Amino acid sequence: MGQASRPLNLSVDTSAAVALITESCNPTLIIDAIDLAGAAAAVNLAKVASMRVDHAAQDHLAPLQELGFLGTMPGEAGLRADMVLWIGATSHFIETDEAARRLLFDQDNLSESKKTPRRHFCIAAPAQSPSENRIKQIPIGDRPLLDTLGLLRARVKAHPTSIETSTQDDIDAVVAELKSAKYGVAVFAAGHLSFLEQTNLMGLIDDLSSETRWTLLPLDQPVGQAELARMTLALTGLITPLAFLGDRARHDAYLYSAEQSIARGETDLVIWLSSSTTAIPPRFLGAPNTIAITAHDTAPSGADTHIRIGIPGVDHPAILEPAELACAVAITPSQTNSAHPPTAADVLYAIAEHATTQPEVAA
Amino acid sequence: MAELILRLKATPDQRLDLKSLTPSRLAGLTVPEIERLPIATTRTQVTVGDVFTVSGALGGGIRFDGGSDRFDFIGAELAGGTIHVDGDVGAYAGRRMLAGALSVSGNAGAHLASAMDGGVITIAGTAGDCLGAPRRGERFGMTGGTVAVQGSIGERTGDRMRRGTIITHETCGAFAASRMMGGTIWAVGGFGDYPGALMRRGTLIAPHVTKMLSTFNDCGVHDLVVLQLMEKHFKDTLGSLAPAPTSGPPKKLSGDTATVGKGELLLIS
Amino acid sequence: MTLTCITGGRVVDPDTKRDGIGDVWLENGRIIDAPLNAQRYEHIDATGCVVMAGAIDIHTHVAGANVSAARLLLPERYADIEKPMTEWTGAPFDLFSTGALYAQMGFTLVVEPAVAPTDAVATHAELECIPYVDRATLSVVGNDEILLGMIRDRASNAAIQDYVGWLITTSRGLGAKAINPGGVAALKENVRSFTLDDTIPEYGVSARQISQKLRNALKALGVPHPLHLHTCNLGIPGNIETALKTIDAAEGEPVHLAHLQFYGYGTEGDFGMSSGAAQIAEALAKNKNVTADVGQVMFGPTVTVSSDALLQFTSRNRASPKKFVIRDGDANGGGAVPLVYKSKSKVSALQWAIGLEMFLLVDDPTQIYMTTDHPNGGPFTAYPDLIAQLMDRSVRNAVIDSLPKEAMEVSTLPGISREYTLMDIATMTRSAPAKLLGTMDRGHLKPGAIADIAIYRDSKDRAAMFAKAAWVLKDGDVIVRDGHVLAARYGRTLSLAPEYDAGIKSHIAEVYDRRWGVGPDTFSVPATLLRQTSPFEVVPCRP
Repeated sequence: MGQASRPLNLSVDTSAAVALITESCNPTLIIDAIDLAGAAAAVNLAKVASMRVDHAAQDHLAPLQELGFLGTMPGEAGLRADMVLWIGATSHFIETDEAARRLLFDQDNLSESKKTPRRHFCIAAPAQSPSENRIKQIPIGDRPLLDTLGLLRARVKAHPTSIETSTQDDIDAVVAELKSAKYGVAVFAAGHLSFLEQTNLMGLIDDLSSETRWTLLPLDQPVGQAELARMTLALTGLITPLAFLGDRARHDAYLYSAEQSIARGETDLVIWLSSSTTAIPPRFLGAPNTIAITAHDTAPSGADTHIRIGIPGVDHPAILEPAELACAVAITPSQTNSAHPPTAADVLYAIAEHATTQPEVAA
Repeated sequence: MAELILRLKATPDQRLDLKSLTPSRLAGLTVPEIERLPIATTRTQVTVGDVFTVSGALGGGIRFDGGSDRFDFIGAELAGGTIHVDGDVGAYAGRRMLAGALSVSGNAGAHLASAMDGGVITIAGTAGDCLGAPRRGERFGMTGGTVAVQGSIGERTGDRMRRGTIITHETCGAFAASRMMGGTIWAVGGFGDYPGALMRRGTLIAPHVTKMLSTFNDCGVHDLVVLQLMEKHFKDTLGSLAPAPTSGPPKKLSGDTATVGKGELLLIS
Repeated sequence: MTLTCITGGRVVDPDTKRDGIGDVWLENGRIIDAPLNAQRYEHIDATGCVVMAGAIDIHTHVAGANVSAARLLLPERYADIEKPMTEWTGAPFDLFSTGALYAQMGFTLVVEPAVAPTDAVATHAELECIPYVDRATLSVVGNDEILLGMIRDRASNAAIQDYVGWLITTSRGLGAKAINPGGVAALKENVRSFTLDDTIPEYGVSARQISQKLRNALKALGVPHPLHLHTCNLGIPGNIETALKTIDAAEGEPVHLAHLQFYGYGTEGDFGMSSGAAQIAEALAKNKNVTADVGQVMFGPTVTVSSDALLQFTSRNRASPKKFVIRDGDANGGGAVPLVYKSKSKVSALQWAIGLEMFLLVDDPTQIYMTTDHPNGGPFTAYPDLIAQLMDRSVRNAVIDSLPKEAMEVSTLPGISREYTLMDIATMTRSAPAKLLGTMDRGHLKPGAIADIAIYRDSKDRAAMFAKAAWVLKDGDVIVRDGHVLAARYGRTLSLAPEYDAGIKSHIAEVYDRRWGVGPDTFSVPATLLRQTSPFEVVPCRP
């Protein structure tokens, strides 16, 4: 397991947290913003103290486990996409996500050999469609996204559908455009799509790829998820939600879901870990005890015990995965924080050193 | 026939993993040995004896006198014999069950009959989401066997199902038969929204559906002999749990044409 | 560290041509000459054992984005089994198990051969979590916009050399690897097959040119390990032609061909595939500049992880189970495609036979290296079985008898009688790879060498013998006893620091700014990653 980077002079009192963890029957570690070292330390703590671990936005990665992925990187999409398909609520990222806008919209990076201007389409209900008029709306009426994606897939393969001929002609015109892309990129956000919608989207991209190149570009990934997934996969082979019991980690999206375990009254201690100042979401409050390990100056609302940590890349050097790069990079802060808050890893290793390693044995 | 009786002492304060309590796994164990089996899922160790008063003798059957929605993996990999639960069961009851019978007098939680391969499960109450579905990442959900539920069942029933039968006498929740590859789901009380999304093959039977996908096509009215054969088979194997006979030929829809589109939905009357 | 003597074992050390009972002395983590009058020392009684230097795996995919994707893709191979994590299920091992399993077999250095420079920070962070063994990486180059643009624009050899030097330095590699050079870039232009002299649309640059430029750059930089080349057309029947042309294209200069078994395919026979191993062996005998690792196929479930995005894209529909991750990267990208090598499959059986033919027909054990291209041909935990198949003809024949006859008819394996000696094994897995990587204080037991030592209880059952070492010493510390790892200790990551002109950064800065809006040092690997101490140790370049 990611070996301890033992803090040299950790001037933070972890004894209250250690006591709560030691007494807990079912401690659950919920992770939000985290750097790579913090994620490794979290897995280490969960292992030595037989904890459950979940990410604050769990389950967004489910389609990857079931279907895999046919995707691209933001830089590559920015350079190559001659067609962009904005999916569902993702469409408004053109207005809210600066990096997405720069890479995919404002800065038409297409190389010299591709003179055709980039074409944009969106599949979105009118309320979700972007105000940019360069983005062409795919006519879907009031059909749900799952149905629209299915229709496109069916028509890519010239399969019959039950819609009216005139609507089908409109869909066919869109399909013909999609097939004419040289490098099409479908932009989506996992958190905004249902599992089946993502499945149909992945299928659509794979179907289109039989003749031309189409790939997926995920946007708006939950903070900390990439960092945590990378480390749990490396150290246990699995993603969250995880349960450490005995000598191995187990993964089950239903049984070990932090949100559902709390709702079902199965969790007696929540450890909310976020190297940011985000408030603890209400769905994670309600366990008998809550420890917050966050960058707040004072305990956030709902926390019984609080340990302050630094913000990675701001208060201390850290490895993080910025969304616009989609790969982990080392970030050194330009100034050091005079308060020198400890890193998440410092605190977690310190707790792990004192937290019980043996599950309590019932009398 | 002799039965092993596990009487619940009190509501367990954690979820329990009860997969070890099947006739084949307990064969040859004495009652004290059974009482020492670990069933905890948290740091607090719990054994069978902590939760249950064990009596009787294993003769191919196990009876749980009292159930709980925290009883997980009841009858998992059951390879023969019977398990009856007088009460509720939690998640993954009948997971990868191969043969035998599991009956529950109360409600079943999520993931009932997860990747089940054979045998019969009967639930007197309701069942949760993902009935007969695979566990995360697995290729197939149910690959055989029969599940009959008196009450309603949840969403995503029969996900990635390949063979076998699921029957509910009430309604089947939304997105049933998603990614289905074969087998039959009969919803006596009808299907909720969008059954059959990404369905490749298989048969859905119901009197009505709340909303259909546009990638299912009307194939007209068919007088299907297979439906009568099915009815007879269920009558023979399930008795009172079999669906009532249909009257008149069903209307057939086929889909999901987003994929290969060889699944069928039979609207019966 | 205490003075230690390993006594009574059969010492097999190709560098000194030593093969006989004798002592090995060590102190302070190094092998030393026998002291004249040692009085107090630790003693390891290796009577009945074989003593070798620690083994080296030069090509094993143990970390990185593609391995991570493979884990994400296959939860069912981990989540619902009661087996220990150290049992192979067809999904990549976790990192702790990876280190422990290698150590148990007597390995002390493993090379992750495909690190995308943009993923180097995360990959090195992962490698730091592999216990017991030392690690090293090769930096992937050859489909990246900068190199291809420089070749297209006829940049000077010196400029290309500077770029490659910068890339290896900032990604902290021990060398460079080209993976289907040009082919992956061509896929982005919807090209679906690419061979040695095809050119990439947009660039007009061929695989042959890319390899030649990289070879020259590495030579000029003094990088000890020659270009590690995963050439085009992997896995396609008839690709024996590509392999032979790739060998010719090296023009007598050092090159290492990765997992050559996957290129040993002719098109003869009833099922359109035959063994080209004999031609490969002949070509290697004539071209001593060329080394190769085998990429042996071993039967069972696995997952292919490769930065050859073209290969992964075109083989995605053969995935079993049918799911896959394919990613266009900023250079290579890559993917994970699960599959099963079935002993009942003619193709799989022939792949297994072709690999063994390569081992047995190439006479010079410094030219051919033991790999399964883990996990692409099978897991590295299959090495003991593979060693047994190489050392013991009867073990091999028992496998042959269980395979489809049609496959064995288009292979010469059934007629090959050669058996590897312990000296051959030590050469192939110790002394030769150490030299190939330029790690001159490894792979042998001469005084001054790092005291990485594997001691195996001698047995006719070679698989059992090499599966669980009696002792393994890392830097002089016992890390394995009777086949079981002791408390975890963490080793070093070997890297290079070639000299280059940093003026090249202005060109890199321009491309990075256009592509991502970031500076040229964005992806550089810092000296410390997850811990407060640096894992890196610099291996010297050639003068």
